[in-house]
Amino acid sequence: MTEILVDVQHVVKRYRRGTHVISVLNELNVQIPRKEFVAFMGPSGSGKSTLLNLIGGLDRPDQGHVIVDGADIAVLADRQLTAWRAAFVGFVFQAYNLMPSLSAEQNVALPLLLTRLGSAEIRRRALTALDIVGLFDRAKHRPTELSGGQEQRVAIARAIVSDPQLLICDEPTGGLDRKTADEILSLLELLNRDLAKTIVMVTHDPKAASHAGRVLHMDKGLMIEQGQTGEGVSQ
Amino acid sequence: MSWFGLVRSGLWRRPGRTLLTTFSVASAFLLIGLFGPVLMVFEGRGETSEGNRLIVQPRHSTTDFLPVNHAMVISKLPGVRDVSYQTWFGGTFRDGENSFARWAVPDSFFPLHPEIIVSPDTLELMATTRTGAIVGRRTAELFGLKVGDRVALVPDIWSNKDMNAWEFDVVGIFDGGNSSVDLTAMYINYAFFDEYRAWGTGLVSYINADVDVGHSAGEIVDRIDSSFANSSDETNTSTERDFALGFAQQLGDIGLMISVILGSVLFTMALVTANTIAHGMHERMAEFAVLRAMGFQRLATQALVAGESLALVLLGAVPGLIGSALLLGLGRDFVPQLAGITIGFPTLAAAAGIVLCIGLLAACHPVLRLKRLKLVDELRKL
Repeated sequence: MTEILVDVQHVVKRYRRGTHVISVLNELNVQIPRKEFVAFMGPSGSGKSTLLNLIGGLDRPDQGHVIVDGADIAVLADRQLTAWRAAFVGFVFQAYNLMPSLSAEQNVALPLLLTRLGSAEIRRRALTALDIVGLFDRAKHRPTELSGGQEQRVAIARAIVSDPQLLICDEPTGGLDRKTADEILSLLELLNRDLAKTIVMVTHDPKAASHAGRVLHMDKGLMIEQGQTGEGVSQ
Repeated sequence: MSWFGLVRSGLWRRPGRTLLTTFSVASAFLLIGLFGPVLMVFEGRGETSEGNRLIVQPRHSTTDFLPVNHAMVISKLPGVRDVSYQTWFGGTFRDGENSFARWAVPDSFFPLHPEIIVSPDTLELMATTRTGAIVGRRTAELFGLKVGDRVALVPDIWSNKDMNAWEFDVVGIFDGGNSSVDLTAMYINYAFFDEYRAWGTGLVSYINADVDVGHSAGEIVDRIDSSFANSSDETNTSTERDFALGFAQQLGDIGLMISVILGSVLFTMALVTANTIAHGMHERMAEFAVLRAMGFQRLATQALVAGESLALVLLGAVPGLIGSALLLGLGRDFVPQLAGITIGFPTLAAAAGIVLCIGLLAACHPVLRLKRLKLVDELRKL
């Protein structure tokens, strides 16, 4: 039987814009098994990024439950939710968001500052993560000395360095050319297949989505269609 | 990678801006280091003596003199423990460019001023050598004076009976027990001075009186001044602290001027630092949102901002204070009046307090912004 890692139950999320209340997610239910690579697609405003934020513990639903690994993260206090993110989730953003004044190695090591590891061990793990994404030899380079694809690889290394179970990827290939995007997506597939990371990705790009094991289509806050791509599932 | 490294990287994200801010903070602390000790001297001189020491001066003008007999009268007043006196000698030493205080004092002057450190042997020599003089360590070092040297002073107030230059023999060098002691001063033997001066025998500039235990300074001040009321030589008595303050106020309330200058400097520095920190944080709000997404607690990001702010101020404060210490050191070689003005613990403690206050004040706005940071909204801007 497939073990469910993320269970989104009857989630409602609304935003207030002036006097208007916009309903973004309407009684949404999604289940994501452990070790799955799932992609959410849909038009702008469909609620996919909002769902990603809820699963990643960056936001809370107005109603419903977001149960990750058996714990309802929607009821956690801010401090607990922050600590949960540190231990459980790695984020990959479209804009990479690396610290420009830090080297690749230092950027990757950032999440490990929240652990009790010594500096030697922090360095070892950061270099291992860089090795996984193929940038061991760029450890001392600053973001400005790296290409867009390399920057995103560093961001991925930063996301996996604390060995989280869940990777949240928000348009990870949005700013990259096709070839580089394919390389990044292949890397994500590798992390899913070889390191058993559960990956939740939001994308507008059908070719990017095709790398996922399952693609879920959203519109107006509801799940409208889902299908297996046949690729990227490590089960 | 460490928390310290993270603070450092934030500081050097825009090196040009950090360097310029550091330079302006360093300039401010240079002024604090230069003027702070001067302000403390103005406010603190006279507080350093043991007990309450009084200075009696002519009532109507500080350039007048008092008859030395007043000292005898004062010494007999109830509540007065010890009495001494001093007369401003003035004179010109060598080329006339060398200005330092010269006082004619009797033996009783030194026991009344224990902060002037001078050996019993030297005091004995001073008492037995009519032309004896004791020179402050700073002046001795500046002019290479040593015991046995003869010092010639051309008179400008006090001509002697031979209408020649005065000559004194250095019998000792004195040190200071605290920073209030003027190590540029020179004390000459009052008995010799009084006998040999061409005019004004028995006239003194000030009378010093020590208040006995169990009596208040105010009570004795009134008692002394009322003793000479309606005489031809009325007195104006004050504590040494009030005397020093009054002297400073005659020069245009220097203390207030220095306070205003330092206040303006601090205010400007606070604005500059706060502006730099606020700009830097505004640009990096998204970075802080990413850190929060990674699992950095809100308090940790706020501590990072406060740490950067404090480090920025400290980065300017240290070279500024070192610069002022060097300038004061250099200045002492050319301006003997700067002797005793040093960057001591009170100035350093005040500087540390200023670093803390300015650093935390500058961090206030970005820290509050981080408190209100909406993670999802900030990440959406990326």
